[in-house]
Amino acid sequence: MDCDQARPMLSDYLEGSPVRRAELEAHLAGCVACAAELAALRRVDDLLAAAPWAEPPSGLWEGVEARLEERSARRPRLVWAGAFAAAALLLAVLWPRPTPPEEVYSHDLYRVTCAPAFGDGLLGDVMPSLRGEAP
Amino acid sequence: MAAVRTATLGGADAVAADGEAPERIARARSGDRAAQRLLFECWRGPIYNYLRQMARDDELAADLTQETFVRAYRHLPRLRHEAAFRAWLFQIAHNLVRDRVAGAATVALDEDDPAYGPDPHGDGARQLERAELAAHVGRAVAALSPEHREVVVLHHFEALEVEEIARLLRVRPGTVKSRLARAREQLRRRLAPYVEDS
Repeated sequence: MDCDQARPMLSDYLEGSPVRRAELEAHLAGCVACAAELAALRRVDDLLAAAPWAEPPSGLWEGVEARLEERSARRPRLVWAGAFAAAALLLAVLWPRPTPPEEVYSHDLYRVTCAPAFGDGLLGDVMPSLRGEAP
Repeated sequence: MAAVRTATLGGADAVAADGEAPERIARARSGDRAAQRLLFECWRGPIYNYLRQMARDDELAADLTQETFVRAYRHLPRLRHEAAFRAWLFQIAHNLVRDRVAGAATVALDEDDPAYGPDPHGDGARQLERAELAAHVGRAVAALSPEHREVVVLHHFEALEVEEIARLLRVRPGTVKSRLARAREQLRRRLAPYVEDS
């Protein structure tokens, strides 16, 4: 194994990966440069392990608890709202509907819908002529 | 292997011992507020620091820390194995910060960040030296790309194993190792004065 092969394996070696471990260790034993590189990477790990930790701000739990309470209080309201919506839907489906009128066309539509209300009004005057009837 | 921080981290090993106790997680799952609070006390530090590193915003990190635990407790009945609690918690935090920050996590660390300042309980030149070194490490980590920073934070700061990180990020373990290697190499270059033999 030469340095070009050894260098990319150093990080895995620090992770304890066993790939070509014996070969790598043999190379490290005889190569000062690669051994120094491994030592430098190991010190990086040590620095990371000693890096400072920020203390979380106080009062976080109170916020968590408040959000949990709020959501559990909201849940029964949501259940009631869901039940009400389901009942309304059921009522709408089962409620008896008025029978739709039979379909009528042209002047028959006028006769059925407008004439009783308007009598001999404007439409009453026009419709006979539209039908080709004498006034 | 990931280095488990003790004193500086507030005791990650102690966190692992108390924060993954199956009976405590089972009680939290049943809605026991006291158990939920104990778990929160165990994990608030790791989760907040992970989110702080990824969001680069203290206020947002605090808000997302709270939301992580709210979601965790609401969905705790879905967690089948208590042993997976830690990874599951980080998964929730990861999803939240990914959705809220989305690629914006490359802001350089504030040099006046009190987390990287001198220890108020210490004294003298040694304290300043340590504070300066800590600031350099903080800036070097902050300068990594979000992908590289995330594996460094999860592995080196939060002591998650490569396989756990791979499951969390939904990538192969080889991808995690490769990101760790590239991140280590970048950190090694940026921290050269502190890691090379003089």
